[in-house]
Amino acid sequence: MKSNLIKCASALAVLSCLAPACSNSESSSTTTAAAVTTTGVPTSDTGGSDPSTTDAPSDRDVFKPITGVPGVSDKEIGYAVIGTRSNNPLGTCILDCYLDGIKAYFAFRNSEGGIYGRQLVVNQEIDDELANNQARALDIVSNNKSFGSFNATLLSSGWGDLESAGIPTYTWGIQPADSADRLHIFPSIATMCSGGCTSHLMPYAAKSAGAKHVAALGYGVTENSKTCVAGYKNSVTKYPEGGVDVAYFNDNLAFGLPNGIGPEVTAMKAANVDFIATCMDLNAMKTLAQELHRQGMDNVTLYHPNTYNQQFVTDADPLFEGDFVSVGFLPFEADTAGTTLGDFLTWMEKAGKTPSELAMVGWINASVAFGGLLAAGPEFDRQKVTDATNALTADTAGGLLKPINWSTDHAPYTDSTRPADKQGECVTLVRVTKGKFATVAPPATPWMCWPSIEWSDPEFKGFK
Amino acid sequence: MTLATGVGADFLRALLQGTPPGTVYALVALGFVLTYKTSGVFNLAFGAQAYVSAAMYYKAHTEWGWSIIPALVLSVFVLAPAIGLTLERLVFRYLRTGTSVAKLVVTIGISLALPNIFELITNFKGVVGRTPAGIVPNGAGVFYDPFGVYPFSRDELTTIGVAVFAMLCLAALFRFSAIGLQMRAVVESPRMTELNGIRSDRVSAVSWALSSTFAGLAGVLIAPRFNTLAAPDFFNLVVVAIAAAILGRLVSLPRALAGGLGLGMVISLLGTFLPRWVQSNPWLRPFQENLTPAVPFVVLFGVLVLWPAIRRSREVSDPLSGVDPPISSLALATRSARSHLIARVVTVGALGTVAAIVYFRADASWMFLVTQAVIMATIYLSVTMITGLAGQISLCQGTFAAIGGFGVYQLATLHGMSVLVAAPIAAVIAAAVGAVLSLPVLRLGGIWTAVATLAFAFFFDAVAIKFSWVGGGNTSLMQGTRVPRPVLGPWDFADDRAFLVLAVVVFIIVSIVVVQIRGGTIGRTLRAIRGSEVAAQSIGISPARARVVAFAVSAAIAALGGALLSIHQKNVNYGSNFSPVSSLFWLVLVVSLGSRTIEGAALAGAAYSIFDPLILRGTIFGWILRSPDRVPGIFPISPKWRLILFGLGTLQFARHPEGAVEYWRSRTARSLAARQRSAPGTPEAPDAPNESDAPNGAVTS
Repeated sequence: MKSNLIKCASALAVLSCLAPACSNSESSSTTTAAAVTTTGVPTSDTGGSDPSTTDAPSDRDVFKPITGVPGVSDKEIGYAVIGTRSNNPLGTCILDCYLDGIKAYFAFRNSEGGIYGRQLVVNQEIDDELANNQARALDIVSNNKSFGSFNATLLSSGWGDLESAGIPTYTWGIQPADSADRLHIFPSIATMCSGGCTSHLMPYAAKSAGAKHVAALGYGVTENSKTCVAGYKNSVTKYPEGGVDVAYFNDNLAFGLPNGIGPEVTAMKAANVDFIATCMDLNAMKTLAQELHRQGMDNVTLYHPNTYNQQFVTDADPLFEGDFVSVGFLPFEADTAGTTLGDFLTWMEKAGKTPSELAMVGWINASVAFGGLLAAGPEFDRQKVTDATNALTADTAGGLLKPINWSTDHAPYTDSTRPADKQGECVTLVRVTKGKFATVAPPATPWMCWPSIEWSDPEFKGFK
Repeated sequence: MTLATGVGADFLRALLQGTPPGTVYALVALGFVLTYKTSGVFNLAFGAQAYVSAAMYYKAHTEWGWSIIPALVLSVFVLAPAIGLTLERLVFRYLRTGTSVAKLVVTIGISLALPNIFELITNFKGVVGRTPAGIVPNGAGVFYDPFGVYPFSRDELTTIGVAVFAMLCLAALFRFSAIGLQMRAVVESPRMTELNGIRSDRVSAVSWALSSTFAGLAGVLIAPRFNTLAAPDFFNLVVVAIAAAILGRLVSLPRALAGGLGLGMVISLLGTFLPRWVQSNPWLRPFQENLTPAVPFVVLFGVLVLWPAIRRSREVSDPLSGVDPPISSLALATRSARSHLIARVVTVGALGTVAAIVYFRADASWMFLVTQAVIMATIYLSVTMITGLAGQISLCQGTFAAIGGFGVYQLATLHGMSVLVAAPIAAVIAAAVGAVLSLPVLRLGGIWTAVATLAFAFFFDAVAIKFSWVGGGNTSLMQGTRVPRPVLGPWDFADDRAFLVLAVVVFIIVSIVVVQIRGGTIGRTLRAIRGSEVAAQSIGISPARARVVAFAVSAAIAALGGALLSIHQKNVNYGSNFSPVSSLFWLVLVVSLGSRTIEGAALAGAAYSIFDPLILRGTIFGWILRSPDRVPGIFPISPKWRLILFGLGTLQFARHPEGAVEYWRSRTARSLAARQRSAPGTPEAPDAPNESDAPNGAVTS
């Protein structure tokens, strides 16, 4: 026994000796932030407009021979699409719907002649089977036959490899931690405030509903859900002008609510809760709504973070009647003028596909990819497209997003490190009315914007 | 009707609110007890069987538009017993005299394979928000409030009624009917039963048809609680319900029913009163935050560890089990020195060739896969250690690996330490956790050890990773759980080739450690304990000490592998790599291929990482046909086949517990020896060593 201890001590001593010789690779995450700063994306003088929606530059139709750029031939620019189809525990349509949007966008642009004399095509469709994102991403890196990649996946373990390979990658923006500080990764939602950040939106929605007592519910098992709920609580505290208080708070629910949510709803009823904001998935929202119905609380308004799914709401009708749903992009119910929303709806219909959240994410990602190509010019390569995209300071993906400043929006921040240009916020919100979504703001100006961090009524805006 | 108020009313309401989920747990617990009583199998595939019937009912009723009765008949009274009969005929008939652990491993394999087989055949896919209908019209929309405190839906009342009725019927079956007695007798000893003129095959078939029908009924009744029908939810339900079944020591139906209901009610009571207590006693808040989602696992673990009766009810023993032949010895022990040398040269040559090709020719994708295979093989050596050597089933190896991953993340990313230093430290931490865990767990033995470790894995998943000092907390929100690659002097392991070499070196070192332990005092002690624990104790061997060491070393190996995997992937990727279910899959892989040998672990690592791209995606055909464009159109094959094939691989384990590698090696050695003996003029091959040289399950190669 003693000799074993000596052996262990010796081993630790050896390890200690090794320590000075050991360090971590330069490509480590601790240096990533510095890399972002030092490589600093130059701000474009022409920033402030979205190249994909401005009048087509004269060189869009210019063909220049390009050699040695992966995925680019004289006729095509090929993209790989990775997404989750198999083993999706949520039962939602991800890869197929995402592909619908990308293909619709490519068909739309190709009908105009493509870009630089080439057609945009999807040349690889890859199911990451939920857990194999990194292996599939490395397949793309290895076969090197796609110019860029699109990625809609629940687990995003491969984004680091696509970043390292310098492949422009456009993603479904639900994994901010995996896109943070990665300059080749362009999520459908710009990197946001992380860690219990405050927002005008929830208090405003509660006030709009005439609510007085708010409940905030989230899962205990994921840090995302916990901090999201903390954000609701902080927002209510920060904005007393909303006229609501947090009457019930629970960030420890078991994932999927396997034991139901009866006691929690009873407690909310006792606390006279009339508005519930959650950070939970669709199935849990339905479980919550069913329990509210059971306990006679049908008049309570729910605030959904991710239920923008018309079929889901229709199937559950009337459980969600009067509820608010936040949307990360221009809702389908908004006016289409001046944006590519009308094109999206038209080209989805032409393809015989139903508009969906993931299809819109695919369309937005494809739009950002196209904008980057356009900004890079006819003699493009991967790095030029990445640089050109990062030089865009007000990219709206054709009026579908609030303006994204790619020169700064890769970097995450917290409430306490909030940059000066992130003091305000713009969001879209819809409400379930007679089983259908309707924009809370006027359809022609569906974005609700708060110019500063101070409380005010929102300004209604539209983006081009 | 108005709701009553006051603490008493709140208590009653909480009890009632816990009744519907409690009934669900009770149904599954009853199914467990039923299967265990009638077949002696601790059936972790119960959830899979229930899911298949639920999905069949959904498909027939909701998608095809059948009315309730025909859909119910098809899913519960046709499909479910057919599955039970098939399992009995193809699998469990050969396992009737097998150990409980062997049966447990096989049910894990079936739980992986069965849902995927069904989904492939029927093209079934759960859709979000499509809540399955119950077996009574408008079951979710009509409510009854018998006490004026909390209303129940028609579906829930039906489920409660069926659970109670089923419990009474089954209890009567076992108590008053001849077939009930015969079922229990067959479990006890099929051979003695047959001596009495009872056809044990037929009784066993009836048992499986009955228990499978019950699983199907439970599945259809439970399904309306899920807003998306998905197999993992049913498996998680099973893990929770095990606690209830164990309250009945797997034999008492009334206790299982009470256990299920009690579990649901306890969770509901905690949900009702704990938040109130926290308001007046803030020190309770950590308990509220951490205990609430983990109640089932805490109960399960607590019952197993603290209830002495469990330890006394180990395994049913067959009085005639002594007539079974001992498990075959390792092939190495039966091979001649010449064939051993040839095999070793061929193996080393083949491995060297593959290594050279990979090192010099592999692209980033294959480099990633091969490196991952090597690391997984390292992790699987932890299974070799605990299962192959110590004869225990641990279902928390993924958790130990996660400790390794989070260890390097914490030490390297958050505290600036080199990952080369952090990884061994994480392994030491995991060893300490493993040693502490082993103290209460290993004295349980058999399936109880497996279940306790599964409870620990789910507890870690539900509670531990929330702690900022484990999963990173807020910090992980900004950049995830990224882990850097190391640099050691002139070697920068950011280069994938260099990292592959590092992974291989670690694998070789760990393999040597395992072989040394196997051949050393601890290994011999463990073999002695596996042979006869009482005899070992009589000569002064301490089983506890040896097992604690084995568990701790196994945990350390898993953690070292987990750390290496995180460094390799540059991220902990807990969800992809280390979830509790991953441990089940790992175990199935390793025991199917061979849990007693280094080669078994290595092949399992290769199978885990390379089988999918090589076979299912058709790459190997591209190589053979010398062009990826010539790969036949049927590729890529559905990834479900991976779970199906590896799951069904446990059927091989049922007949050959030594694993496929050892089985084929032994077979080859035997046929070579026979050929040598039959060749004219050939000197007689050396005698195979006596079986006693390699006792049951021992690892000696």
